[in-house]
Amino acid sequence: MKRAVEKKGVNIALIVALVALPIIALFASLTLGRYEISLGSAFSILTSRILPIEPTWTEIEETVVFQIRLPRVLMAMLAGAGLSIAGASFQGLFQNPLVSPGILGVSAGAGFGAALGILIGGPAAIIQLFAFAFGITAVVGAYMISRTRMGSSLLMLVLAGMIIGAFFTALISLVKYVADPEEQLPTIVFWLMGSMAGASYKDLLWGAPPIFIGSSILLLLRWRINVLSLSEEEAQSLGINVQWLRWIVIIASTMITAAVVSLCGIVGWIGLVIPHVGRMLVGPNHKVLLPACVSIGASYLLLVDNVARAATAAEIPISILTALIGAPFFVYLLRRTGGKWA
Amino acid sequence: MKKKGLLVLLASLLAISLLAIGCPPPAPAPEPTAEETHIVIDMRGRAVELPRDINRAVTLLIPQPSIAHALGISGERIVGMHPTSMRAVKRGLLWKIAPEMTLADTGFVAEGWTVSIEELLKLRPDVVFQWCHWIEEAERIEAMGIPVIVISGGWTPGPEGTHRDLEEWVRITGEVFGKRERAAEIIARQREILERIGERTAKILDEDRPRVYFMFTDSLQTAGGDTHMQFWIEGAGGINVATEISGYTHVGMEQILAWNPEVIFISNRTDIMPEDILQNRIEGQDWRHVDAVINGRVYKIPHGVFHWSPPNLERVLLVKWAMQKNFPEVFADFDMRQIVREFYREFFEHELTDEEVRTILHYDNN
Amino acid sequence: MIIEVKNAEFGYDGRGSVFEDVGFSVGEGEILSILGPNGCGKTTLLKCINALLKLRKGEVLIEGKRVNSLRKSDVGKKIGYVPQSHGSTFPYSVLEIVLMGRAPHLGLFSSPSAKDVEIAKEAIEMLGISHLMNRPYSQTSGGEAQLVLIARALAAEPIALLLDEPTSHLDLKNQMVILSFLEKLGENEGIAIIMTTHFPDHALSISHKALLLSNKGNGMVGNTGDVITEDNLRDIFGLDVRIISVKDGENSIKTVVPLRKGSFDRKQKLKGGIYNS
Repeated sequence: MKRAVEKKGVNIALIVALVALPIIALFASLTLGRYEISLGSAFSILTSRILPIEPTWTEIEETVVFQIRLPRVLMAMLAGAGLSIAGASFQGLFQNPLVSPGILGVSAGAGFGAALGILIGGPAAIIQLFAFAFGITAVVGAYMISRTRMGSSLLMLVLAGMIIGAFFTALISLVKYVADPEEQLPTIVFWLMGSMAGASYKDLLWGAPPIFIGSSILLLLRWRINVLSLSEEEAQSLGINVQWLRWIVIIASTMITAAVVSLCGIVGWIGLVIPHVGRMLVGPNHKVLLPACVSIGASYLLLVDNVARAATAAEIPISILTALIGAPFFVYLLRRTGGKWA
Repeated sequence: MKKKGLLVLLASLLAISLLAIGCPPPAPAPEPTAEETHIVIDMRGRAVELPRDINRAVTLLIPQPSIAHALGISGERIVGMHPTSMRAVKRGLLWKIAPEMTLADTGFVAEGWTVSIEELLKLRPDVVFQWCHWIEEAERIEAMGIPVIVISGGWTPGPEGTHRDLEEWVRITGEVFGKRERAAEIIARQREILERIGERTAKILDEDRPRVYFMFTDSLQTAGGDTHMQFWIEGAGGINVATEISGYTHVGMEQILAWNPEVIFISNRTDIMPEDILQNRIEGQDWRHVDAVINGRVYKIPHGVFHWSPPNLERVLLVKWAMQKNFPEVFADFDMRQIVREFYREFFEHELTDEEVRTILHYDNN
Repeated sequence: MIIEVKNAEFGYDGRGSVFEDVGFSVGEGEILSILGPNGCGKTTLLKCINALLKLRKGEVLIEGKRVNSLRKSDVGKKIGYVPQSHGSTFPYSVLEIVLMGRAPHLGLFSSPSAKDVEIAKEAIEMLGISHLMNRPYSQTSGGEAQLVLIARALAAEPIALLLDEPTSHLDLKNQMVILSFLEKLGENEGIAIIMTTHFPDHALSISHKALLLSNKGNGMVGNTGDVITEDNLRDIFGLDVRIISVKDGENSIKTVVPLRKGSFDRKQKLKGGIYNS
């Protein structure tokens, strides 16, 4: 009994920390950047939107904070939260902690869509639309392949996802091959590596809703994902329509991932690693894990993007950073848990 | 039925391959005598044995067609060029002044700077030009018995290095095609022009030098201090704001605001025009508070035989042109139209029309 | 009747039937044991009862309603299912596992309420494993794990319980713990219980009814004492047995003793399905 009480005490501190973390990270990030703005000015600029403060800062400082940093900070948080929650849900759904949100080919599909959009010389809106549409197409394709008379089994689905992923990766190579090596190819390569550099409110306006909707669905289903993570028969015997529930989770996660890829390119490792961090902190119960992933994912990608934009004069492609940090961390997890993912 | 079809297919394949084997091998070329070949040292210091008469050259170096033309090498002698070169040929002046260049093959390039050996063999090249850092690719071609000359496209660090690279490039190209005197003449003339410019820029005080941002692509990609762009930006009396970074790298909008460039030059890699930046029309980028935009000092780099900004002969013009943009009062005496006319007459033996001058200078946009 | 099975026949697509013409019924508080050699379809039959699998012919009635006409969540509410084993990738705690038994009662978008947690805790208490509540399921012993799965099935507050070989893999003491618990569950809660087992003794000890399934696909059903006889067991398993009684004070316990001699004489080799009993 005493242990349970103690556990509860820790939980409250943890919950407070998880709620506070992204908020603190958001405000801290707004004061960071290549353009020098004093902490006082940054703070005044921020509060000026709530309190009537006589401006003591320049117009350009305000532009930097509200037009450059804020949309980018929001995008990083949105993408981080989205990828993490999609990753955690997929790991539950596939009963496999090594699964990432791209397992069904959505990233490859979206990457191809974007590359195609760049190839035909479309404006940003077309590139993003293509990315989103092909991301969804890839997963629908995987579903079609995996469908048998018996419904679609997880194993078939994963295999189909691998096939679709390989197919779209080949198509990306094809686009790169025919792309103009001087003008289009570098853009495609840079885009595929992922970057938040182009973040604007316009992007958020259309990219945020699918991420919000998908995440809300997953958050509402979060306890059911526990049941879904049992064997199919067990879940069914607990009165759950497994096929149906799986598809809701897949559609919601795909919507999120496709939207994230279309906003800021392929950002790897987040959806794979953050759920593990979450499990270390709050345990495997998806009811708690999913909200925790929102908090940790948002804060983590924000932190990484801060490095990408503020560490050097040159932008560092974000997927390079997430991999450089993610891979060693994964090794640490492996060694710590002995591969048991406890 | 299916099986039968397969058999037929196999049989016909076999027949074709037998036919191919049955063809008499091409008559062996007579062993070149000492008279017919000579040794050229390429930019990795390799001694390459070449036939004296080069009639079928293949080049992977993007600006090579324009350099070849300046050296008075007929376009017919270039049988293969990189697709990007071809685009520059067709976009710029060369298709007009050397239309035979457009007949060159481009299909031998597999991807980037790698070649499809069989396609290359079909072109029966006497020599292939390849970049220095693609040495493995060069050796692969050499294994087929085709001599390869490797060239550094201005990557030797420092403005001096890039300058020397280009001179070497021109000199070696002249040597390969038997145009040694013309090459020497071009090198000497360009050096002379640059020295004269140098004398004038040397007088500019450091505090007067404008901060220059070079827009390489529209996704905020610029050129760092170790690139060829440093050569002409400094040569024209400007300060490259991105000197501290390396290579052709992406930067953030906030970084540009922090640098706050006074002059912006836009490369021909992108379709962005000064108007797009002045009107702040690029999505996700906010240029309003940049000095160059406030003062309307955003310019599109000209494009003649080739883009002016990558390493090639027209860089001399670029330095002059950029100088005038950097210091409009000091170099008010530069009549760019006249300078351009004289330059193309001297180096490309082409008399520009007024219309061509306007197009080269992006006159309507600058 | 709580569960009725009529003329049941099952077969996988394009193959012969696993069993056919099987019928029985189980009422409130009744226990039925299903026995038979490996591969005769015991588990399959169990899965047909809660509609995890579909019968080829015949029907399953739950309180008089066809199981296939019920919603999945309603089947889950009425029938608790205890699989042979549970393996989860994620180390959920015992309480979390048992709480999942409340799933059929909860809407798609809802999480368990305090009341659900209370019910789950009651189920855990009922099985006497309160001390395991916060321990990861993966760290429980075989006997404890079986109790956890039973608790989870009971958390749904079902009217019937299906158990797939609940006493396999358990030591002697734990076998008896489970059997006594099931017997009490029938008596006190009126829950109808159907379990498969490899031990005729267990059937004899607690079940009112027994179903003997043969490898030929037909079944024999009736009161346990009438069905589990030396003759029937010999026919089904191809093995001579003796059923003897052991005195334990007032009670006499019947037990089945297999006679090893001649067990391979009938060419009854280990026939099919040993790995998927």
